[in-house]
Amino acid sequence: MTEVDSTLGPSQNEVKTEENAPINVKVVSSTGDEVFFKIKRNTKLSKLQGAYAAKVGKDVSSIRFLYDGNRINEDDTPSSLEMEDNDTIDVMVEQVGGWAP
Amino acid sequence: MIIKFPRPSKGASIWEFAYRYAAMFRQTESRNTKEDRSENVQDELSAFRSVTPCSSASFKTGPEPIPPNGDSGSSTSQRRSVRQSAIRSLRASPPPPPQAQPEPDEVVLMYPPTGTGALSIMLSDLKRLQPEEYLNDTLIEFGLKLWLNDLRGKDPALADQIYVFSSFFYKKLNNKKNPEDGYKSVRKWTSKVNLFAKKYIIVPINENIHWYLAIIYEPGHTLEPPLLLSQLSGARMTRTRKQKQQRPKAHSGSSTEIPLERLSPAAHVTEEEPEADTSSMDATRATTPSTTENQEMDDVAITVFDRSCSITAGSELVFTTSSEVQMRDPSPNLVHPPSDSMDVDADNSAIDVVPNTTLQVAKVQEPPTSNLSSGIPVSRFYGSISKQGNPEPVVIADHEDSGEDQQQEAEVDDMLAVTQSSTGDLPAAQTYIFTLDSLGTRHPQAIKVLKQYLEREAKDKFNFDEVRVAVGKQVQVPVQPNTWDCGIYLLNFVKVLMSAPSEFVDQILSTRGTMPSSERKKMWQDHEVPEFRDHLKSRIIQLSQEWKAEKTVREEDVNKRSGDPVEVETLSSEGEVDIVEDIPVVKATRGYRQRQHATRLRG
Repeated sequence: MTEVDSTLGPSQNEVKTEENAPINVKVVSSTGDEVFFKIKRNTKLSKLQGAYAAKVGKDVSSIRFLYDGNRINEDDTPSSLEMEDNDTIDVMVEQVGGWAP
Repeated sequence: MIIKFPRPSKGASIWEFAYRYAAMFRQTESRNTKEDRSENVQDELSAFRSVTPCSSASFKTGPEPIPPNGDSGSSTSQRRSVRQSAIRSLRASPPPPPQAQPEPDEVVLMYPPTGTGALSIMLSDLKRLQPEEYLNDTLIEFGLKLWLNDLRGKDPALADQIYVFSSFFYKKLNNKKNPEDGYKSVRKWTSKVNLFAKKYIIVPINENIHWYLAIIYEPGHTLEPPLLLSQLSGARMTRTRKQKQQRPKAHSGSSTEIPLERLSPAAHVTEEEPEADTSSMDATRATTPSTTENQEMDDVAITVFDRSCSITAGSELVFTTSSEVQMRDPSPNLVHPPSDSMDVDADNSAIDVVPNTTLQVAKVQEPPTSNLSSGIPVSRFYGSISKQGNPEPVVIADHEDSGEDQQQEAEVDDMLAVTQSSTGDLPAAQTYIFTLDSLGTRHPQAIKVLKQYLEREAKDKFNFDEVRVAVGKQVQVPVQPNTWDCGIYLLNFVKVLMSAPSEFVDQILSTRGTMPSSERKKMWQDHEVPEFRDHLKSRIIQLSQEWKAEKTVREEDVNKRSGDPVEVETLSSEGEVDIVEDIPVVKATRGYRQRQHATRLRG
């Protein structure tokens, strides 16, 4: 709770200290592979997405990052999504469908 | 190139050889040009990446070549895309035009423009709305969000009753190795919503390159106490006894002309046999799932599940009804086992034939004063007198459906009859899980998984140990006439169903037997499907223009105010994202091992 209180502090200058402290985030693929990231709270998650895509060698447009089932967008940050330390991000591969062969 | 011709014996075969070699040559050539083209696109893409500032694409994208249509990722989907493009090029003799000049990664629309969980619709997604293209998760979710948003404008109260799951929900949930882990992986997804307060939960499902839909109707009933044992599984145990009690009652209510003595022997035979079958089936059920659980809905799993379903919910009331149909009918060719025995009978041929024959013959011989033989459960019949003079039409089998579908319909009808019997004339309120599939496929596995989800959700969020288990039902919908429109059908189903949801649910629940395809098409407004792609496309383009205009305004705004957010970012650009640890489930590939140490990336 104290941490939440501190994030409510409005001043931009204080951002660097408490609010922007890095958190650990686990990225889990649909096959269960896990990659752990450390990311600052105000860093755009798109950077994490790019890093992950680079690591697994996939095109960013072919994978989806979900936090609690919601898609993560370019401008989202851990703090904008109210992420907590040790939270999980799901990474899913694009699904297409026409018929079942 | 030296082509060595085998010595032909006749002039005709020379021509044949020449023709064949020419064809081979053409093939190789076209393959080469195709490769060239895709390489060009890749070059363009990587060039684009290296110059784009601050977008997600600005990162090094690794060694794997980027597929030109951007629809691949894992090796499997890459394989699929290769196959799809192969199919496509087979279908259309001139190869599809090269990727258009704008980058496929370009975001054309963020929808909804505000709030979390917005979808980024890229040019490559928009292309999927061209005829014969497969829809992807983004388009499905866009279609559902757009429709719900439209509805919110028209009927906010109804929109509030609806919850739409992500198209990845079921994929995460359906963890075949460990269902509990599957639940845990989506447990937090509903932390801000009480699903049980909703009326309709829409679950788009993608399996085996195919889209279909599940709708959970009135999930709140899950939180009600379980139905009494005698109403569900207990019914089986006491069935014989109950039948003996029920039968006189049923007969006293109807004008039976046939002497009982004549019917009793046949009735007895058919009554006793299912009991024996059931116990052996129980044994099968106890052992089989462990072996089939890991498989992708194979036939064995389906049958086993169905049986367990039908056994627990087997109803003596319908049993009585259907055997009554036979009892009331004096013709000798009607000595079939009662329809109820189909559920436990392993013989599929019986399942295929019996219900139709019974119904059709019953219709022919139906006395004008009675509609008992049209398959309406006794309780329902006696409850609704108004229907007496106006019998429901008996549905003749539609040949689009397999016997299995009919079997399931019969089972669900049985279940419905059970619930109806429990509280007299009104059905006991239960949660339903409908599946709608434009290929007409049944989805017992999805129904099972969603049932268990509701149970776990009730336990997790409300600490309910006992719930009223939901009932699954396959909804009869039009069949897609091609191989690429299932996503479009899914979206149309949702749109049509939710235009008058309670009417549709009533109709779904009251449908007995198989509905002719013409009726289904009418009910589900099949005629709107062909225009659906264009419709969606024009909506995206229209919304895209609005979004882009707003975006420009916003960016100008940001530029005017001396960019505070930009400053924050530069302050923290060093070491923003660190890969700390990497735990692959499968053994680490060489590529992983090389980069096992913590990688630091700069923003």
